[in-house]
Amino acid sequence: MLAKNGYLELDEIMDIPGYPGTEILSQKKCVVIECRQNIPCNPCEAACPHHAITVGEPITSLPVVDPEKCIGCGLCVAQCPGQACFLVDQTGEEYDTVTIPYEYYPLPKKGQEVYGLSRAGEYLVKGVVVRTVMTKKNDRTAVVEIKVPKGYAMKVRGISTDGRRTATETDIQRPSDAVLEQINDNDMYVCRCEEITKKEVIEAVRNGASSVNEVKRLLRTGMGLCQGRNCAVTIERIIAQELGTSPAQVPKATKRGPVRAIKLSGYTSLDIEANEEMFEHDW
Amino acid sequence: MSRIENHIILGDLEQKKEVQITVDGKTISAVEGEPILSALLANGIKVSNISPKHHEPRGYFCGIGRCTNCVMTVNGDPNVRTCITLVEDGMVVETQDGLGKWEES
Repeated sequence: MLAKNGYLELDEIMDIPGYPGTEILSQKKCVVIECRQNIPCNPCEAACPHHAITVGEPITSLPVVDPEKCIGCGLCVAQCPGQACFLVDQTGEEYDTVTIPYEYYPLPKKGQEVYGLSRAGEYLVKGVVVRTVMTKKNDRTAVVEIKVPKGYAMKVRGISTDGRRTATETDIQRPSDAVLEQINDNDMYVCRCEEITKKEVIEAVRNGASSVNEVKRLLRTGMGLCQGRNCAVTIERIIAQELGTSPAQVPKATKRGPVRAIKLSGYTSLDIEANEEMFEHDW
Repeated sequence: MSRIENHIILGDLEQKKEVQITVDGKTISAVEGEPILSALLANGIKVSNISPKHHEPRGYFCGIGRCTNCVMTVNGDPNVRTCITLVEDGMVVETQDGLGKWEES
């Protein structure tokens, strides 16, 4: 599951408008847009010269693929900032091909054997590079088409040129369980400048503080060097969690213009004359 | 930490003029026009200051000028955000203790 693991499962792709349908995919080479988060983004729509991809209004809509119009050119593959566009060709008798965006050096060459990786980054099967496209229009994202055994075109979503940097790799340095167990969420710093932990904020809320300003008066959170730029939202969430409300209902911290110490020479060295506009503040 | 020399998105590392800065009495080389923090990291210096309350070593956190975790004393001025302050030849950078002190003048 995307929200839990950071990658999509195959069944999460089947019901989105970017999936052209199993029947279509068995008949022609077509784009599969594995995009199911309503992100305000539409370069795929502009990238397609045949208008096979529609995002429309609002811009947060999911891209809709019109399989009739898609000719499998792959221009959208390099353009998607989220690298969610893939070309799938399952029409071949001996093998499938899948076209993926690739942003690592060294670029794989035609005929090179590569390791096909799943959406989770796990090694699945070996494939052979059919073509590597790196034109100026791609804007530094290479498009790599690889041959994979039949049945793998909807599974392979990444490649590794040397078999390393995969999720199945065993010799990666991971923190030991003992170290992980020591990590206590409550000991983390919420306000880094004044060094206030989550535990202290929770305690303040239990003692009656119900807004960011009240927590600030008790603990000095947001009164350090950064002036609450980092902690205000986090504290809002902790209060909401403790009081069982939504963060939007927690009274916001008072916002004031940025306060930063400036040397007088910073003003005297300016080669401009003051005018009235300079004295109008918008905070 | 070493510099990324060639990267598919960032491109190749440009050859730029080298400048020298002094960090806690030690001279290190930096690339003209880069933030102080970038020069420090490239030379393996990770600690920017000692935190005011718990006296723990602190390094950069956000790297974009918001969090002030990377502040150091630069040319005698305390609380300079090294991540958004560009290096200059001959700059004197010091690890800051707590909130730092202005140089007596």
